[in-house]
Amino acid sequence: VSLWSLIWGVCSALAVNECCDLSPWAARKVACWSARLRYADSDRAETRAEELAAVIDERPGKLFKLITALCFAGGAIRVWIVRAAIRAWAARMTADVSLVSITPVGQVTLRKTIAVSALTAATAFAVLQAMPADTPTTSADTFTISLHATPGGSATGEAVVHHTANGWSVQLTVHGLKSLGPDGFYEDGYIRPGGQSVISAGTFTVGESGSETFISTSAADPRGSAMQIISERPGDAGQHGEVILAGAPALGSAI
Amino acid sequence: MTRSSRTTGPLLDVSACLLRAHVRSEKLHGWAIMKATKRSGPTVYGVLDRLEDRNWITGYWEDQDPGSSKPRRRFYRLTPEGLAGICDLLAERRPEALLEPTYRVPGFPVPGRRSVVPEGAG
Repeated sequence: VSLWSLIWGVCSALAVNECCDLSPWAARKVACWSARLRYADSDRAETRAEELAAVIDERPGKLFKLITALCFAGGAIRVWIVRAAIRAWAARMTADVSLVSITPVGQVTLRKTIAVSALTAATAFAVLQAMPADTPTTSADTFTISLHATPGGSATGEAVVHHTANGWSVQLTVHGLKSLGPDGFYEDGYIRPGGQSVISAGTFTVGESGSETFISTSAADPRGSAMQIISERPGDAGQHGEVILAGAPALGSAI
Repeated sequence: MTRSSRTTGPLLDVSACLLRAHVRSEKLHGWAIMKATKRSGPTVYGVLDRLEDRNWITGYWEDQDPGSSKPRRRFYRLTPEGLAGICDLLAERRPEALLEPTYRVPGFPVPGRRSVVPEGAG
């Protein structure tokens, strides 16, 4: 046995011994960190942090303590990722695109919420993708926007936008819209590139025929924006309803 | 637990464990549940979170000497609402669990069984 082998053996044994002694301490730290990562509720996080430390304390075996703590950490990271993803979706849907509402909170399950978010996100994405990347419109003072039904719908529409001295005049023609009853109405608005905001351009109703033509004036500059028609029903106060029609100014649509 | 909630194997395991501890008047903490159910920590605590959110269980800290440096354990017990809910849940999804002799829950007779009473209560 060479001297180096002897030294190596002793050092390795010491290192393993130190690691074993260190692992319970590290396990408690990891468990507490896991609890604080997993729970958004700070009170529950602190409760669980001490509780998981006690679980680690009960767990026999120094390395098993660390393994158990790493399991908690893995679970916490998974939960944190899911929560961050949901938060990102919610932020995008409510703050940026403002397309989600449809059902009052509390009446839908999380899965339904995610499904609705995904559907509306896909719709918004499709609309925004239909817009050219940079300045998705014409610089002309008069242009048209063809409106297409969102998945599952059959309505159609067209907006002829004209710049006047008082703002932007929009002649909106729609077909195939359902009458929303005495309290319901439709709202047309513009989505800014990137889906960062929705600007209302007016509201209207349709009769039983489902076809109407309206002229409204808005100060909002629709150039570079996509247009959407959403339905608003009683009880949707403060929230945007279901997207019925959407479209973007097509290149070359300038009149 | 409402019908819309997912009824999973771990949920049933933890529920059965909690019920068993209830009828035996045992104190039950996280590590004991993990050992009894042979489920991982994150799984067990995920179920405990759900049960706590439903107000089916309530937790309380163990009494500990002020000078102790050990972290406190947290025990769980069923609430009256949780007892009823878990009995219903197990009767529907895992009736064999209620047939164990130790499950003698007052007011919740198992179909096909004699009326049950808590151990030591009669």
